[in-house]
Parts: sequence; C-alpha cells; structure tokens
Amino acid sequence: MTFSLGTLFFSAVAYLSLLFLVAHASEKGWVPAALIRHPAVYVLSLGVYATTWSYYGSVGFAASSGLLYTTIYLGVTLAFAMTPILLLPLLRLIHRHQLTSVADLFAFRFHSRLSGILVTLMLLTGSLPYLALQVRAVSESTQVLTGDSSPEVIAVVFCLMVSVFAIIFGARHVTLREKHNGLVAAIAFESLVKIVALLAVAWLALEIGFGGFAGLDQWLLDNPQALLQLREGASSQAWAGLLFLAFAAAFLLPRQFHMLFTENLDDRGLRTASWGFPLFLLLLAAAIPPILWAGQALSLPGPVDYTVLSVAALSESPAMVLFTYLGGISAASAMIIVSTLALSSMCLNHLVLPLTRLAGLPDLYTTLRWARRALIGAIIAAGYFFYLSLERTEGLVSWGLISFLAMAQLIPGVLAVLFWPGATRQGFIAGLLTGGTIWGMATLLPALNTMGAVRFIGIDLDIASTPLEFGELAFWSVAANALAFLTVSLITRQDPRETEAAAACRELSMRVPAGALIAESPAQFVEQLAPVTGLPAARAEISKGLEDLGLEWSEDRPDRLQQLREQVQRNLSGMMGPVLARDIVDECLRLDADSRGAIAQNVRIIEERLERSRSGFKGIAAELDALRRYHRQILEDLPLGVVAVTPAGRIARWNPAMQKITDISASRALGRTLGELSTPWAGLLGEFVEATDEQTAKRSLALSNGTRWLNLRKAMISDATGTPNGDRLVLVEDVTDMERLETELAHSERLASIGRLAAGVAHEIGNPVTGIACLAQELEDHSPENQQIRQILEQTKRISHIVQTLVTYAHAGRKDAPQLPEPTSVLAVAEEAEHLLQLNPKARDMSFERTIDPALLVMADHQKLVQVLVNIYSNAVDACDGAGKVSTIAKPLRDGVQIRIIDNGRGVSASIRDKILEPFFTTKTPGEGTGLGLALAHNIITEYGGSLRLQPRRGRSSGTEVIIRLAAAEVSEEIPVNA
Amino acid sequence: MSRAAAGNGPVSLLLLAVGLFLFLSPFTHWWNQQNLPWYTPFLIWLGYIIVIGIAVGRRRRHDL
Repeated sequence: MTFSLGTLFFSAVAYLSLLFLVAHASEKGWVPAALIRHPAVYVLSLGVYATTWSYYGSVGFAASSGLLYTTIYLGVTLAFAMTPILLLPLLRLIHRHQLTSVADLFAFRFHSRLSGILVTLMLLTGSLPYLALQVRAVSESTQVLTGDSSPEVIAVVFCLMVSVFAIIFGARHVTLREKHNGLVAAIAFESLVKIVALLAVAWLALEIGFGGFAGLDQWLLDNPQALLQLREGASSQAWAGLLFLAFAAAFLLPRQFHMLFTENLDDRGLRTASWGFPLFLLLLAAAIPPILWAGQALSLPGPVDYTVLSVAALSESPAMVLFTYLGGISAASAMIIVSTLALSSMCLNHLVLPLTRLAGLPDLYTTLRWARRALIGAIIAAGYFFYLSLERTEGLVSWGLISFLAMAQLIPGVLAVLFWPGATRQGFIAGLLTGGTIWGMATLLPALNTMGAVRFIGIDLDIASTPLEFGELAFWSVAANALAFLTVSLITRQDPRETEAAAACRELSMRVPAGALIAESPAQFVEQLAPVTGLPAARAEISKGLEDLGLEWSEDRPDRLQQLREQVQRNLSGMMGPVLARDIVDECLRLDADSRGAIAQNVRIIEERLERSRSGFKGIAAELDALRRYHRQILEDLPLGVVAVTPAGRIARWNPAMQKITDISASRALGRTLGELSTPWAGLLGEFVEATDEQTAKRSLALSNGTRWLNLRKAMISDATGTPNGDRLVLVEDVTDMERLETELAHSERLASIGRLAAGVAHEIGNPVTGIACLAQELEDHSPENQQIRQILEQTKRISHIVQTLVTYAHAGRKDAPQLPEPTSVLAVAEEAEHLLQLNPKARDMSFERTIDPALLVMADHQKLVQVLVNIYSNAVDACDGAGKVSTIAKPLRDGVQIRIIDNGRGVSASIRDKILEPFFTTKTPGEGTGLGLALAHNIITEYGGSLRLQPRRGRSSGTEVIIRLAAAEVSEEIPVNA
Repeated sequence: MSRAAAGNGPVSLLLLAVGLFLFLSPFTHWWNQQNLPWYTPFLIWLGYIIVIGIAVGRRRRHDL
C-alpha cells in the first residue's frame, strides 16, 4: 500500500494542527484545569521518552538483540523505583531554587559558570544525534509509504512544521518557571496517540499474522528459534550496560528533565509516575514481540525498523496505516519540541546571556523570548544537519545510544549533588571532560560520516555500533569520569560559596545574609536593579517577588527585604540561570559589608531555615536543634510578654503572651521598629527601652477595651562571653486583673464598713423609734379616733421594718454558721427584695410586677435568696436607667421551680454575655459597680444546686431575662415555712 | 542524603534491590533459561511495577 507525498504531508499538517488545537484549548482554559493537572496527564506527558526509536526502532532492536530492547525501558523502571531518594529530592531542589535544566542544576551546585557551559555543550551535542534520529525516522517512514520521495525534502518540511509548533507553544513564557499547560496537554495527547497506535498494530499482528494468541503460541512451537533469539538478549553482556544507560537517560535527557521537573506542579504527579510511567513503558515494550514475529512469519518486505508500518498495511485500511504513521509523527515531534525547548533554555542561560550586556536591551523579556525562539530554530536546524552528517548505514538504535551515553556522563555529578557535599567543581569538571572526551572520540566523531576515520594516539577509532560496544563504553567512560571526579575532588578545596550551595542542595543551608541591605524599600530595589535589567523588567521582577512572598510595596523591614532579595534571585534564576542571577543580585542589590549582621535581625530567617532542615539533622546537630526548640518553647509559653529589640530598635522576638497583651500579631510586629507599632504601644515600649530605669510597676495604659496596668522590666542581652551585644529584652506583665482585684477589694471593704455603720445607725435609730411607737400607742389608747396618732404608729412601724430589714441584710453574708436550705417562699423573697430596693433613690420610678403563687416554695436560704434578687433587681434598675419595668414570674416545673426576672432595659450585648457572670466583670464606670453582684448571685444559686443564666428577652429587641432554677420544697407539718 | 531521602531511603533501596535481583542478577539468567511463555518477562515486570505502586502508596499515606 503506497500513499502520495501530498496525502502524508496533509495528514501530518492536520495532525499537528490538532495538536495546536489541544495546546491552545488547554492554554485558554477550555479544558478543565483539573484534567490538565491530573497525574495521569503528567504520566502521559512523560511518554515523550518513547520516541521513534521506541516506536519504529524497537522492532529492529528486538530483531537483532532480542530482549535487550527492553533494557531501554527497564532502566527507566529502576530509576522510577528510586523516586523517593532520587527523583523527589531533585524535584524539591529544582523547585526551591527555580532551576530549569540539568545545566542549571550543576551550575548551581558547583557555583560554576564553566560547569553550566560544559554541561550545556555536552547535552547539546549529545542530543543532536537523537534529534537527527527523529528526522531520519520520519523521512524514512514517509519514504516507506510513498516509495520514491526524497528523504531530505521530507525532513526539511517536517523540521519546519515542528519548529513552528515549538516556537509558538514552547516559548510562550519568558521564564520556564511559568508552566506550559498547553505543551503538557499536547505532549500527553501525543503519547496517547503513540501508545494506542502501537497497541493497535500489535493487535493487528496477532489477529492477521497468527489468528490470535493461540496461533502465536503454535507458531512459536513451530519456530522455536524465534523465542530463543528473543531470550538471548537477556543473557547478553550488554544487558547491564544498557540498563545503566537507560537509568541515566530516564531523568537526565533534556526532554525528560524538562517534563519530570520543570513542568511538574507537585510531588503528587511524581509519586503516581513512579509506577504509572513504567506501566506505560511496559505496554509499549510488550507490543513489540508480536509485531516482530508477525513480520517474520509473513516475511513482510521493507526495512525491519519499519515493520510497524508493514504490519499496519496488512489491515488493508488506509486509515489504519495513516494512524500508525501519525503515531510515528507523534513520537518524533514530541521529542523534538520538548528537547529543543529544554536545550534552548540551557543555551540561552549558559552560552548566550553571559556574553550579552543586558542593560543595553530595550525590553529584556521580549529579547529573551525571541532569543529562545531563535535558539529553538537553530537547534532543530542543527539536528537536521546532523541527520545529513551521521552515518545512515546503522540502525536507529545506535544513534539513540550515542545520546544515552552522553547523559550517563552526568550520573557521577547527580550522585554528588544528592549525596556528596564534599565534591568540588574542579572534580566535576575533570570528570565531565574525561567522560565527555571518551564519549566524543569513541561514539560521536566516528559516527559523523563527514569526519572520515578518526585516529587517536595512533589508534583508529571505529564507530561503536553494537549494543555490546555501547555497554562496554558506558562502563569505561563513566568509570573514568567517576575516577577523575573523585580524585580531583579529594585533592582540591571548595570555596565558601560552593560549600554553601552544596549545603543548600541538601536542605542544610544556614547562610545568614552577611551585612545589611543598602536598599531600604522595594522601590529602591527597582532603582538598583534597573541599570542591569532595564526599568520595566526590574519593576516586574520586584513586583513578582513581592507577590510570591505576600508583601506590599511599602515593606521596609530588613529581614523581609532580605527575603525579597533571595526571592528575586530565585526568580531571575528561573529566567537566566542560577549563576547569572546570583551575579546580578550581588552586583545590584548590594549588602553593606561594614554593617554588622546582628543575629537578632535574622532570627526569623534562621529559624525558618532550621525548621525546613530539621529532619535532616543528625547526631549532635539534632541534639542542639532539640535544645534550641526547647529554649524557644520556654520563651513562647512564658506567661509574660517577651520582646527582644535589636540595637537599631527593631523587634526580633514577640511571643504569644505579648500578642495577647497588645493584640498585635507576631507577623505584624517582627522586623518593625518600636516606633512603628500602633498607639499606645509605640510610645510605651519606646520610652521604656530608652529610659534609664530597669523596671516600672503598674504603668496604666488606656486602651479601647478599658484601662490596663502593666509591669515592665528590661535587660541587656549578652553574647557568649557575657559582653552586652546591644540587644535588649523587655518583659511585660499584665497585672490588670490583680490591680482590679485590689481596687475592688478596697471598694468592698469600704462597702462592708458602711454596712456595719448602717447596722449600728439602724440600731441607734431603732431605740428612739421604739420609744416613739410606745408613746404613740399610749396616745392612741387615750384617743383612739385620732387619725394623726394612727399615722405616727404606721410610720414608726414602717421605720422599724426598714431598720430590721437593713440589719438582717447586713448580717446575711456572715459565714458564722452554715445556712442549710429550707423551704422558702418565693413571693416573700421577691417582696422583701423589692422593699429593700425601693430604699435606692434610683429605683423610685421603677415599676415592679409579680406573678408568683404564694404557695410556691423553693429549697434555699431566705436571706441569701433576697440578696440574689436584690443584686438582679439592682442590675435591672441600672439597665433601665431608673425608669422601667421589672417582672418576676415564678412557676413550678417538673423538676423544680423556675424564677424569671425580666426587665425592659437596654439588654446585654452578645460580646459580653459569656463574661457577665465572671467576678469583677462590669460595664459600669469604676466606683459605680464592683462586678461582683451577678457573680455572687450565681454562686449562691449554684450553692443550692440550682442554675442561673442570662439571655436576651424573648421576642423583644431590648431587655434581659434572668432565669433561675431551684429545687422545689415539699411542705410538711414539721417544717415551718421561712417567710 | 537530603531531608526527603532521610525517611524513605530504606524503602527505595529495597525496591532497587528487588529490581536488581529480578533484572540484573543470576536470577535474571535463570528465569530467561526456563521454558516459560514468551510474555513471562513482562509479567515479572508488571509484578515489580505493582510492588512499586504499593510501596509508594504506603509511603504516601505515611507522608512520603
């Protein structure tokens, strides 16, 4: 079955247009974000690993080397099995420091521009044969289907189409820290097409070639050499070497690194990928044997590498063949797009930008975007020229293995990044040069047919073409690389910045900014950054940094500005690479090296880093950290407010007690000067810190929620030698409750004295009143009709009753003898309480109502219950401002008696309802109320096993309802009713 | 070893050891020499993937 070139061309264009649509729909949000971010999409996007090598070349590889072809997938499976100790730490490191490529990773770890350049060159030259492989596979597969077309022309057209796509969707953002949702969706879609097409071809091979699984088994029985040939691969000496190469390629190939780490959103996707991606590869690999054997069984014509197309042609369905062909286009285009995107970023950061004067650029972002696009085009063009130059007599696999071997040279470096903090940049460079030289001389140069035969120290280097040769080269080149790395690292020393970067890679960086920032605000950051990046880019970067940290443009706290500086560096790193970003930040956002970096000023930064690194501490470090946390917790839990102030007057510690006292959160206070605190704390603490007195007692402070009294003490903080370092510690004790208690006790004492005095006065009044009553009685006996004498008698009786009530009330609070509950008439209690209250001039205009059954009795002490009602009535009088109505309603319940006292006063606000029964809580001005009335009433009722609660008056907007519940009394003949 | 690696090292190393035992040891040679169906290597591979999934799933529940 043959196709015209036009048909294939338009099919490929239509397919790439569909990809454009998928990418565009994802970018525009037409596809739900939850779907784009689903781990399954992430896993499928990793399928970019499987290129035309897997799609077409695996059949040829299996034909020549049996199961050896599975090593390319099994090595990846082993790498993904190590996700928790290999891929996740790399992912976190890359995200934390905004690294975007393998070259960034090594340039950051070894703090070396040269390392970045060498890795970029290694990856670029290592990837070009792989790019060429894709171009070759597409052109050859087209040739297989058309029969007579020129492969070079097809390759040019394909390269152009893919370049357009990569430029449009791969370089949308100026920095790779922005995720390319469209790209991820398109690559995932391509993987889906690829696997569906390959599985469909495998099914065709089974059905058409053998009539199903049983037919295949029978064919294998009849042709045992086919199965033996397949099995031979697993016993090949190249097995281990190829497993190792695939292990390295799994995460170090530029496209894999990009999809695994740069486009990754969180750990979740990687965890799913640890089993999901190997499963994807297993399906791809399992499809190969049936296709291979179908080709052999049916003696299909054409190159064995393209058996997939030949098997698809057996279906005699042009649609099926086209779909299979598009699966190959998918595999090739996905690889080229992602690889060039990753390589362009590396080339820009490590080869182009270091040679460019950024300040001269009119618009940094636009320039970077176009530079990246130009690099994408240039890299694809270079891939095309490699395609023209590489020896095409070899199978597809050998071109891919050239790339794999290049990536394997980075394995010693990756191990050093994760596990060897002592490795030096000289060691890394030495290792890379050693391994890279062997790779170049033994694989790349001999593969270029333009080079001719290569001679090295008198030895003719032949192209490595068999898997066995690649396996051996993998061992020797990486061994030499590691040996050089190890030896040079052991005899050289790291510089401090490299040591710091090594610690940062292991989440153990404790670097404290050495010196104070010269800039005092984000606006000054912009001014300082503008000469290098240009004003618009400077403003945009600072704005982005502030947004990332949740800070405002008005921020001026030194520790926050230090954080902003680090964030800007991280963000620039995502755009320009870590080395250039650091150079720019060091040059522009300078630190004043002369100023002393007070530890107090950086307490928060240090503590945040310690918290991040905590689980990495071991031995003495872990013990010291536990001790630090213990001491910090003491300060945090101290019931005293603790404020540490730097010599510059900035707050370095603000514990929870201080937050409670001042109502100012630690996040608002830390880093500010004392003068920036809200009134009146700024004045109070500022004056106290400057004053010569070491302490001040009962300092009153008028706040919105009332007056508070504070005791303040201060001390100078000393360093380890005992010398004061200028930091001061202020302790703030809130003694408001104590002060209020003392005031109220004094007030109560005064009231008690007045009570005793009143009782004495009542007694003194009682005697003459008794005399007057006796005389009036005698007069009445003589003149029984005299109304005036009768009135005198009534008034004296009234005086006697008042005096008696007063004396009884004054004696009621004594604890001389326990007052046991006894049947008490609620009505009598209410009447007496009203009577007493009417002595209060403020209550003269109050109206009292009672709905109480005279026979209703409760178990309580009469006088104490009177006191309860007097207190409640007094509050009601105050709430009604002396002119209102108080209703007392008592009714029996099944389990006791309920007494409701309802007033129509202003009511109790919800905010204080919970506190109103607390002792000393009062809404009255000092001297007018003790705050004890309701608390005392509550205590008395509780003492008799009852309950007292307040609630708003039901059905009304104002007024309060006090509900008392007490046990009902059962009256018997023996027990007299206390009335 | 970094923070993430600290708590998960043993599981990962165990998984790697199992992988090497299955695919890079005399056991690999042994199963390849047996007269087993052609898809046996893929079944062994699938079993290994299931083990990885279970191990990672367990670690996730315990905050990997």
